[in-house]
Amino acid sequence: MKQKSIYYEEEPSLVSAKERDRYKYILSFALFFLVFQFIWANNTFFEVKENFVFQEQTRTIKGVVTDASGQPVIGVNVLVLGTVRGMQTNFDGEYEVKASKGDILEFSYIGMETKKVTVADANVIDVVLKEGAEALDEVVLVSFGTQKKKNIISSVATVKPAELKIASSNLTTALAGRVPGLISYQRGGEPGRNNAEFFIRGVTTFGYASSPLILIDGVELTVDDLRRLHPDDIAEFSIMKDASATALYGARGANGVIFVTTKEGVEGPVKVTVRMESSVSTPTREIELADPITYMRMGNEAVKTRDPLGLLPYSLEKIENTIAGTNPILYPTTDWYEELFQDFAVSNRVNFSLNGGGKTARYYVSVASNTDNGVLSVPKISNFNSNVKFKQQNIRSSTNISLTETSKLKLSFNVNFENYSGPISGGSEVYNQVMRTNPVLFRPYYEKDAANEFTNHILFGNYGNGDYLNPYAEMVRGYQENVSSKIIAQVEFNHDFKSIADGLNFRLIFNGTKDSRYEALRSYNPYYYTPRLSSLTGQTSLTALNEESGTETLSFLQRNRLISSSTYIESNLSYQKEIDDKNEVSGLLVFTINDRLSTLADGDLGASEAQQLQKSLAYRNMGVSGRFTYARSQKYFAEFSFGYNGSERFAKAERWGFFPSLALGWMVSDEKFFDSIDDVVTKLKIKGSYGLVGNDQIGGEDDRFFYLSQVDLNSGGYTTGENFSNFQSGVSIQRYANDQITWETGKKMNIGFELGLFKKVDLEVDLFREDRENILSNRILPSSIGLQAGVRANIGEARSDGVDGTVVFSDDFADGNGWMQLRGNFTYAKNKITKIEEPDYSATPWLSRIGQPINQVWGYVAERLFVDQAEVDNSPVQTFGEYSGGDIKYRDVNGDGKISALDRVPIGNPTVPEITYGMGLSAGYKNLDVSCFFQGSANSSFWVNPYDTAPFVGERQLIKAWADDYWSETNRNEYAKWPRLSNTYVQNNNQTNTWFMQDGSFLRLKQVEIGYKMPEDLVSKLKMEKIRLYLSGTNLLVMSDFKLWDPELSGNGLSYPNQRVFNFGVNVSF
Amino acid sequence: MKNNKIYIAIIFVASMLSSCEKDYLNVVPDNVATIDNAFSNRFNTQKFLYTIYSAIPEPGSVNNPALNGGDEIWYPDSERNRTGVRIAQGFQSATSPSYNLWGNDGLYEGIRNCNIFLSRIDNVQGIQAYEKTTWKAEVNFLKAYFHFYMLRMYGPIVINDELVPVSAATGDINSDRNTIEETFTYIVGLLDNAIVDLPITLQNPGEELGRVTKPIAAAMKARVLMTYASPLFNGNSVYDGFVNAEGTPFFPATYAPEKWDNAAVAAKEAIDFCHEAGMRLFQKEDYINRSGNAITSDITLLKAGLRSRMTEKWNTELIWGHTGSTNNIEYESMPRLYNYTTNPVASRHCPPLRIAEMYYSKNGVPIEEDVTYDYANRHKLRSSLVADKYHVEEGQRTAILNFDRETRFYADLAFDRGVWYGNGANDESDPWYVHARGGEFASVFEISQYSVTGYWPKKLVAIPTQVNTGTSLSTTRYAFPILRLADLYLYYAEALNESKAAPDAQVYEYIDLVRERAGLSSVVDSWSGFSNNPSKPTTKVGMRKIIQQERMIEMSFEGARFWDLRRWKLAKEFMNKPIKGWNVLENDADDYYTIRTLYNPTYSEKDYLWPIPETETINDPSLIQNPGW
Repeated sequence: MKQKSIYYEEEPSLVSAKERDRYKYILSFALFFLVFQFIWANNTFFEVKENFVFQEQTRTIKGVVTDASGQPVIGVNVLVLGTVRGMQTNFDGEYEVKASKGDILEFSYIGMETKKVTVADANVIDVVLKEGAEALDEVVLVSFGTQKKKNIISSVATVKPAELKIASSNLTTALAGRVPGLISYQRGGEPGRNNAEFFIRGVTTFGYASSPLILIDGVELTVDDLRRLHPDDIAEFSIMKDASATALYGARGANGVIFVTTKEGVEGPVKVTVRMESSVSTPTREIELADPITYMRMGNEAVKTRDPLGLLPYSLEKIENTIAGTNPILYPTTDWYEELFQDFAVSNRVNFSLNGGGKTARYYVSVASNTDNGVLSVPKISNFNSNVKFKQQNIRSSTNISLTETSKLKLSFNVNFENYSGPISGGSEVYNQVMRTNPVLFRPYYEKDAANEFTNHILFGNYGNGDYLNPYAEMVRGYQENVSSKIIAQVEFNHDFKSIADGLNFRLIFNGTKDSRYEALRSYNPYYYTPRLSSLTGQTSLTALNEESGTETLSFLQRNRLISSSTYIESNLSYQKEIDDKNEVSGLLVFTINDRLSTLADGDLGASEAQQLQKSLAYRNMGVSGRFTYARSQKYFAEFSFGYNGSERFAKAERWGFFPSLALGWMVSDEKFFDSIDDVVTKLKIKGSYGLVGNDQIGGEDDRFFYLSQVDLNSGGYTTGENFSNFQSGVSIQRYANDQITWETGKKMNIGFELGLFKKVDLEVDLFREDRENILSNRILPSSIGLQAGVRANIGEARSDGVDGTVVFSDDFADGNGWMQLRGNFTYAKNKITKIEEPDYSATPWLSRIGQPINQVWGYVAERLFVDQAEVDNSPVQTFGEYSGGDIKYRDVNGDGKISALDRVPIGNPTVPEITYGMGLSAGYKNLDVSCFFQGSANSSFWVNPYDTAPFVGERQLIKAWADDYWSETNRNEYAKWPRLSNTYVQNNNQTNTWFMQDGSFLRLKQVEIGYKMPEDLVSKLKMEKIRLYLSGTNLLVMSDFKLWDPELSGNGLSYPNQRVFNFGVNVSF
Repeated sequence: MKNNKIYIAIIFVASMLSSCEKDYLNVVPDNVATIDNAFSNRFNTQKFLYTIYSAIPEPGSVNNPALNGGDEIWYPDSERNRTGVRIAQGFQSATSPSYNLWGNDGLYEGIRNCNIFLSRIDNVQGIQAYEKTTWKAEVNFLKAYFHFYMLRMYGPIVINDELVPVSAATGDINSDRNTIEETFTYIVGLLDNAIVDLPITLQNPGEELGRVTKPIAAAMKARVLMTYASPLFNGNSVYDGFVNAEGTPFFPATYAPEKWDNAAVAAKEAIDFCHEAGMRLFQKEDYINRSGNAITSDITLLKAGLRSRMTEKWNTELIWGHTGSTNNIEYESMPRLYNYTTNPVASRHCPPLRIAEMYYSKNGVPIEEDVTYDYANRHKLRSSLVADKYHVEEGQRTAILNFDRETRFYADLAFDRGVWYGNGANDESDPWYVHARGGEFASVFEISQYSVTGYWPKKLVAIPTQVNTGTSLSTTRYAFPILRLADLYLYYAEALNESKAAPDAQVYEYIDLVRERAGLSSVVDSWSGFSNNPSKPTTKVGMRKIIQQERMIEMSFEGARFWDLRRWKLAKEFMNKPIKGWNVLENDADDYYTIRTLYNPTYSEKDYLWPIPETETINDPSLIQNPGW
């Protein structure tokens, strides 16, 4: 124990001088925690209790655990079977445990075969563990507890935390392609706002929420909490997919559950791990824009081609002067991307953890700090930095205290601080703004000229009346700071009731979470200038455009002051018993309540009073769940689980629901008749489950209580009176009461098998089907009855089918000096709507949603572009507004001679990919290791939004791909990429159609990493235990048919792009 | 023993949890607002009444197609996608209908609120019986008005008289369109009931102006019956094949001349109620001069009086005005009068050339008929003389078209070199002048803010409305007229002319009142004195033309022309002619005053009726779409 102080007197040697100050701060903080825990752990009160509890016949058994090559194995779980006593081996592979004669010690370690040893007379038991392709007794997280992997017959996928280590401070971006059954994609790359979306086994509801329930250390938390987790702190990460795994979560588990536990302290001297990473990120792909001259020429063409009488935006004089470049002030060209964005951004991440403890108390403390910078170009003329900067600090501590031999207390605290600073409208918006800015009207800003010599402000460029968008000014004019902090405190009490019955355990969890956030915006109104040519002097001088509205001083706006607080209490009674050699039973009963209250977000402050009131009320949940398992001869397994769950959202009669499920499993390979092929098929398990799970997240975020009508008594209104002074507010109905509304129910079925071959290959495949019923959907009623709000009922049904699987192949080579592993996983989830209230579509069956995927898009079939007006005149009428030659020609599906909404057909694939897959190869030789990982997605479509890309409309930029290939009167290419130009939206072309549809499939090289472990003699000279250096790259390559931007962004390609990251890191433990 | 303590603690906590209140999930407190609260007392019930008022389509809204969906007001190209402008260009569609009042947020919601109100009002405590009666009459009136508004747009509509329960099965809901006759009969029935119970004037005008009275309901009945009698709905053979599911034609098959008699009776009845309530045409003597500068010239006073007939709030001839803000419409209609550094006015409501040509000559007859008017050279230029100084800036050149016109021309329109009395310049000898040629103040400020025709609807801008210090517009609010007395007089004249074999003194009486107020002689005198067609007022057809032109002039920019052209079945004729204006980008006067075609609109037979939104016909395939859509 005394060693600890030594380590903290040293400064970490690998920290650069520049950053040292910050680490000092982090270190001292960690030290404070440590000291605090020290005092706690050495408290004599606990010592006394310990002595009191120990019984005479128990003695201390010691030993060393080594692998086949004689190397000590660290972190082996040593458990006295039938008790909760146990520990993990220390760095020398040593363990020490109290046991009595006849007790069975179980030694287990991931990737090794578990070994059981019965305690005899010897006090020293050394154990050698053999490596295995898979450890069958590996413990896996299941709802409200753990189970041995061998006994698991529900569908649970586990990910090794190491696989989640990518060069990002956002854990959600690491999930795609890693987990069978998880469909995930990332639609933007702005630091702090780059959460990936994910669905377990796809989407089976067309209701409001289709994202999974997220549980961290057993408590329901949000996607943001998941994002903040550091892979280094994760002990286990699993995903629960079928009814048997999720039924316990009752009315909340239908969309699947993501379950994460964080690391706990391990008995032993203090162990310090430090990881430091620096990364460089650049956009995966940038959008190419046309040059300014082309922009002007085509801008003129856009007007002329539609309206020969129209006013041309760019005079010949302007175009020629711009080409000549004689007066770049008066005839500017601005590459806004170049002006606003840097080529790359640098981010830093540090993670520091301490781990250790004695018999009475063990601790795990980690401190992590990330700084992510955005790629906005920091303007030198501005005195505040409005580039995106996202800083996170995370302090996590968990302490396990053994109160008595049978009682344990676990305290954990998790504190998160986040600080986002960036431009007023956010980093993504800066990208969007660039697209909406004319490249030839003005410069971002002008140097001070003689007339404005004494101005104190930046002379931002603008045009006309001064109300054009200048994204540079928007970026520079101010900055926002978002500060958020989240504090999670959890107390867990465990008691072993072996005095009543062997294997009976009680657990009580209390969790309190406080979340607070606030945003401050500081900005000024830019002064805009435009160059004017004086006809008298022939000089260009800058003229102010908005002397009245511009300001030099900052104004301040505070928004999104959000505080939320939630409480979770769980009591959990479990029983586990091996009745005899053959029969094993377990039972679990859990009672949970959940309560959350929060202030309203700014967005809600504009809502009606009625809505605000309803949203201000507590969110509550309450339930009892249970699971009963039976295993016979380790070959036949049965499991029954249930959730009985209530939600505050529904009327009293509809509030509570019962969600049962049943699962059966058979370990075929343990049967006698399998012995002969034992070497080939090492494992074969067949399992199946069926059950019900609910989803109470229906309607919308604003729908709290369906059984109440929502009436706003202060909405709209009318004025009367001579002086228009008598205003009376009006009444609006926002929801009609319906006390029949209840949650949706998913009927989930799962059949799977697990197969092990040649001790090298592991294959797991699950086939699933889910029938989701009672999906809340809108009734179809004629407008002529005058309802103000939609009428909804639990009338929708949907089904999804699919398969997910994973295969692992591992092998050694070069006499055990080298190893390699190939992993692949695959998810295919296809859904369709089976019931929904629809109009009578008998005449136009293609409009029916029944039988079509939930995220299917309907649109018009674009045949090609019209050749000319004559063709327009001789074709079916298109009813979306003016159109002519060069506009999109649609197919008249119903043949009624006109193109109307009746001609819309399902086009393309659903917007959520049906197939997600990933494959990775990792290999090591001596001290070197290499890994790469591919992620892919298929069967999805997306649309290039013609509203966002239509050049010249609202000064929008011209994408080079359009400039290179568009319909013009001189080049009537009816298959050109962009239809006839226009300076206004052409509604005819903007309809959802197949012209702008794109295939969303892609395969990307997500991650490559090369690591080098420093040789041991060198490491030990440095008094270290391990030093590993590594270099990694993320999002290196992408293969796709779509070339305009990163296809993973789908239709969102004009905002902050996903990032390609090169990362250098070092991982040290001592 | 320690263990026991722990057990006790566990049992204690566990029992706490299990004894958790049963109502843990009952988080909703009492008194959360529901529909019952809207009828809990007099005050809340009145709020509901105001809710119904708030559904009245705003006549002065820049999205009201009656203002800019026809040929009366045009816009710069950048405003092409405005609701009304899309209709004007001929881009109405069933897929995405412009000004869709059938679908969500449409008038049926207002109608349902009427039904809710009528089903609840009797049970509200604390409202006096007479008040309940009046309120019910108001709601019945509004219910009729909403139905009429839709009828005028869509033709046959679904009458929604009863409150359909939310839980009704789809099959139990009637969504079939009623015939024209059923709908008109239904509307007139509601109005008749309302007229009986409504007060002749408001008890407390200070608080209540804008609420419905007997003259309003009677005048609306006149409008309804005028519409019913007009060619679009009366004997229109175009819709012969337009039948409902039973095969009954939606439109009456034969022309019924007695419908004009009914309209005349209703108009006269309404006029009598209005007179009884003290209404009369707003005369120049009624002009309220708030500026402190006296007006000495008769011309300026007449112009000011005529401008005030629209923009003087609650003036003597206003029957029913809407109380919505007029800020936007004034902002859009006012030219820039001097060098503003910002854009306090948008200045983009632009009456096309044909509207300028529509106004009479100073002799009160159409310019093309006036024998004294140099019609052939009207697009040429001349300089303003001293005699013209109250209309056109002295010594400046402008088109001959802008000279020697009736006073309403100068009261209603602004043009290059024309006089703008108001905007703070209240000395008639030193008013603002509009300078609109290329590069001048009132010219293109930016591409979305200028008059593309060279005219502005001055009529829509109140005289005291002004731009303060060149930066911000301070508008004087008025009640945008839905019904006014001149309108009713002209209805009466029109109905009488149609119902009689030939025009007589009775027909001339009310149109002449309107002309007299505008400073013009009677129809007979003017035509006989100045028209190249002096006998025009003596024939029914000739008189019809005269009344129509008088209506279009008198009611300009108020949203009347749009509906009148439709009900007269003249829209197709008018709306297929090119929209023209002066060549406003030119600097030089001669170049400026050349005619430029702005747009060639198209209007076909189907455009007489709005399309029913396609979403509705898809949702309910039994709903019959209007012909041609």
